[in-house]
Amino acid sequence: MSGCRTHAEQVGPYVLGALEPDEMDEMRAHLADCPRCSAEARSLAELPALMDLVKADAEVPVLSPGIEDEVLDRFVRERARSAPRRRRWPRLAIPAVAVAALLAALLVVIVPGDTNTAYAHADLWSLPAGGGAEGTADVAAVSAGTRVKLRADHLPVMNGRTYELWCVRNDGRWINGGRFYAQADGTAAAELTARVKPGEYHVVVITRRSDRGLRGAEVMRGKLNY
Amino acid sequence: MASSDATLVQRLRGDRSGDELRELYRRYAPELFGFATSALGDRELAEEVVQDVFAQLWRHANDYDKRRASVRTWLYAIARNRIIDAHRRAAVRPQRTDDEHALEGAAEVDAALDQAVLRWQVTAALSRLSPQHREVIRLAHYGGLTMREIADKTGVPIGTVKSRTSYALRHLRLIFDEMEIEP
Repeated sequence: MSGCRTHAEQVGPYVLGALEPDEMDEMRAHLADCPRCSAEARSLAELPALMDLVKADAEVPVLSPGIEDEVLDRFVRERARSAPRRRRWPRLAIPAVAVAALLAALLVVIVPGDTNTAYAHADLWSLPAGGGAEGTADVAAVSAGTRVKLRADHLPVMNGRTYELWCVRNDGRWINGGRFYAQADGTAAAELTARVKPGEYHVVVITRRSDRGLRGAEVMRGKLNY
Repeated sequence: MASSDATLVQRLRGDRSGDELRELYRRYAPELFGFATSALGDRELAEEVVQDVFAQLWRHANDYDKRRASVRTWLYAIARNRIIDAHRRAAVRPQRTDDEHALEGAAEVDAALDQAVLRWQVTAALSRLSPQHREVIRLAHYGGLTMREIADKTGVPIGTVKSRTSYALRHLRLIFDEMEIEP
C-alpha cells in the first residue's frame, strides 16, 4: 500500500524525520485524517530502528574463494579415508585381477606420479614479504590430486598467522591448496591437498591469506624438482 | 530444475564427488559467513566457522530430518554452536561457575546471536537497494540531512529526492518482508 495521491512522496521522508519542521507538522496533521498515508507510515515505521543496527558504510562480507576449495578438499579427503573396503571379487575374476595388479605394480615403478610417497621436493625461499622465512614442500600424488607436506620456519606472525599454499600450473593458473596456520614462533607444519595433478605444476607459492577475493602477499616460493 | 536442500543433504550421505556439498556451499556459505562475521567481528574466525559448519554437515548428514527443521535452520543451528565455541575460546574473562550466571550467560549469548543475524540481514538488505536509493538513505538517515539539504548537496530536484526516499523505504520494506526480517 502506498500513500494518497497528494502526500505519498512525503511519507518516507516523514518516517525518517527528514522534512523541514513546518512540513513535519503538516504531515502529522495529514496522517491523522488520511488512512492510506497513516497505513503507509505504520508499515515503514520500524525501518529506522532496523537501519540503526548497522553502520552507514556496512558492506556484505565476501568469503574468500579459496575457502570453497578448502571445504571440498577436506570433504574428498575424509570420504576417501572412510571408504568401505571393496567386496571380494568373484573367483573367475581373480586371474584378471592378478594380471591387472601386476601391470599396476609395473606402472608404479615406471611412473612415480601414481605413488603415495613423496617424489618431488621444493626448497622454499623467502620473498620480500616473507621476512626471512624458509621452508620445504614435499609432493605426493593422491586420489584427490596432490598432497603437499609443508614445513616452514621464521614465518612472520605479527600481522596474522594464516597462510595459503598455491600450486602454479604450467599454464599459469594458480590452484589453491588450502590454508594453514603458523605457530607463534613462526614455524608451521601442514599437509594440504590441491586439486591439481603432479607434473602439471612446477612452482609452489606460500602467500598470506586471501582477502575479499584477492590473493595475499607472496611470502615464499620454490621450484619443484621432480 | 534445481534439487531441494533436503534432497541434496540426502544425496550427500553417499556422495564422494563433492557435487552436492558444492551446491549446498554455494547456496548457504555466503549468508553463514555474513552471520559469523557479524557475530564474531573477525573474518578469519568467521571463515573457520563456515568450514566447520560444512564439515558437520557432511559428517552428520545421516542425522538430518527434514520434518524437524529446514536445512537452512539446521545449518544456522550448527553455526550458532560453532560461534559460541569460538567466543569461548576467545574469552579472556574467567568462566562463571554458578548456575544462575551460567543461564544468564546463555540467554545473553542467544540474544547477541539473534542481533548478529539481524545485523547481517539488514546489511544484506541495504546492499540490495539501487545506488541511488542507498545514497538518499545514507544522507537522510545516517547523515541526518533533510530533503532540502540533500537536494542542495546533490543538485537533484527536491521532488525527486522525496520520491526517491519514499521508493527506497518501500523497497527496503519489501526486501525485509522477503527475508522475513522482524525487529
